[in-house]
Amino acid sequence: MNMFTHILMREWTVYKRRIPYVVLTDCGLRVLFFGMVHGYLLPATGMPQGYGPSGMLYIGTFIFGLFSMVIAFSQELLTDYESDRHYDYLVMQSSAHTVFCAKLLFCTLILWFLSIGNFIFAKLLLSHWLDTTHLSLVPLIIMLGIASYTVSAITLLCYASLTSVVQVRMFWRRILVPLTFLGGYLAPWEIVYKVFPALGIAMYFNPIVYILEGLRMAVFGPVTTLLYLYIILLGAVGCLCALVGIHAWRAKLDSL
Amino acid sequence: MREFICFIRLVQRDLYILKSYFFQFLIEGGIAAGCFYLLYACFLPAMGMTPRFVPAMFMGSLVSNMIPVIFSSLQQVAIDLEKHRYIEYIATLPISNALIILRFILSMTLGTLICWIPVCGCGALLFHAFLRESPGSLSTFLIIAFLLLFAVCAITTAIVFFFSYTWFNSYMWVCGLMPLIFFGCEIVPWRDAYRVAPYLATLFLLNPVTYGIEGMRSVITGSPHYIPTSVCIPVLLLWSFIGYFGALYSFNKRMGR
Repeated sequence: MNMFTHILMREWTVYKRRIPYVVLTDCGLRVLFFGMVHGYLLPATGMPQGYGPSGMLYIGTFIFGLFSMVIAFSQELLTDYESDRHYDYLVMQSSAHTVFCAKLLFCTLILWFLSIGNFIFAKLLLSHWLDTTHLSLVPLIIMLGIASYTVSAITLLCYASLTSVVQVRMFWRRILVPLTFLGGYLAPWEIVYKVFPALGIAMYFNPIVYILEGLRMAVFGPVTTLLYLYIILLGAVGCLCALVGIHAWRAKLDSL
Repeated sequence: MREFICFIRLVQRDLYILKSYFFQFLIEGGIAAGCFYLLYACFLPAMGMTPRFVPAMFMGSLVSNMIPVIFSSLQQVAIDLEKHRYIEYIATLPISNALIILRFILSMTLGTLICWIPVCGCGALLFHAFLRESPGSLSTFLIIAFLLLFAVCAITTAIVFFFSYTWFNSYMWVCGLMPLIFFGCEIVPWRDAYRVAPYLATLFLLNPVTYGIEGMRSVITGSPHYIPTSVCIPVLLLWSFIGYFGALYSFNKRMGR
């Protein structure tokens, strides 16, 4: 068994004991918080059913769910560096590429599974508020997969580059807040473009926009070739983040 | 007296470290306030939101923006408990457990407050047109902000000492911090939430964050639409005591004292 498979198996062995709790918390509770509070309460502010279907707002909040889910997996890259340095041993046995890619694949697969579960819970809980009459199942599953991959790659890149737990605050406040708030989190791209056209154009450089617009397109339709363009773009962003992440991590490990 | 001096020096040391981060906090505060302004004052009204919700949402976001800061501080405590055990050294100092835990909570509260001031300052400039100007409102606002942060820090410190590191890593966000944010009237004021979902809004009343956010909304807008400060301050005080004694209990249990 090579090191890549070995790492994946080890992660799975640790993770599988927690599956019932994870499904309950990461799927059930997250939907309750994001979906119910935003989906039900935001329309009270005067938005007609929360700007079109209130489910649109739920999808916006979904991105925070993805990031907070992936942090539990990425944190190890930072905390291990400050204490046990177990990853140094793994990297010596194989390479930084192998370990990082195994971690990325594991994060992506788990996040994909959880995000599908999240959607099922959302539909059950929000019912008619999450309008799925125009939902395209295959594009949605592909979009959730690519979103999981991109979010995992971005988060792993950040955590691989951070050298201290104190810097976690910076990751949230300097990277995640602008990325999500100006990435179509509550206000879709067309609104931003209508209010500030220059900002709308600048948003083309934000990968979160493609995730959210792609998910909205897959859920509310109509699915066009633009969706596949988003998928290719997100795949490229994910690869770029993974490459930079590997180099940053390698440099961090070698720095001592 | 010796115990008290030791406590003051520990808090001073924490504040000294925080002081070196102030410029970073200023940058982060500017970024956050800019994002809030664009979203709540520009984009959401363009989507049909009534403008009276703008300051209410800004206040809610101010609090939710502080949660990652609190999480970052909690993470340092959790890692220390699991790995470095610097806390063992603190425990050998001539200082009681009650003061050790008070130092943890107070340092975290003041640190978060220092981090908060730049967001509030930049936000006040940007949201100027939506806010009320009245003498005395700043001091009330700061009292509510301090009590809210103290209560949240105390409750979350109790959680960190009570549960294992694995639990903290996996569930702190979803079981500890998210209920505080999302069931705390972060987006929609309590009365509006009650109009739409009465049972859910009743549940919100159990959350100290609800009183903190509503109190701040009440101060900055001067509107009777929000829960009045005369109710918010006593409830926040009560939650601060509950959180503090909970944290003390968890600390004693964890440290085997």
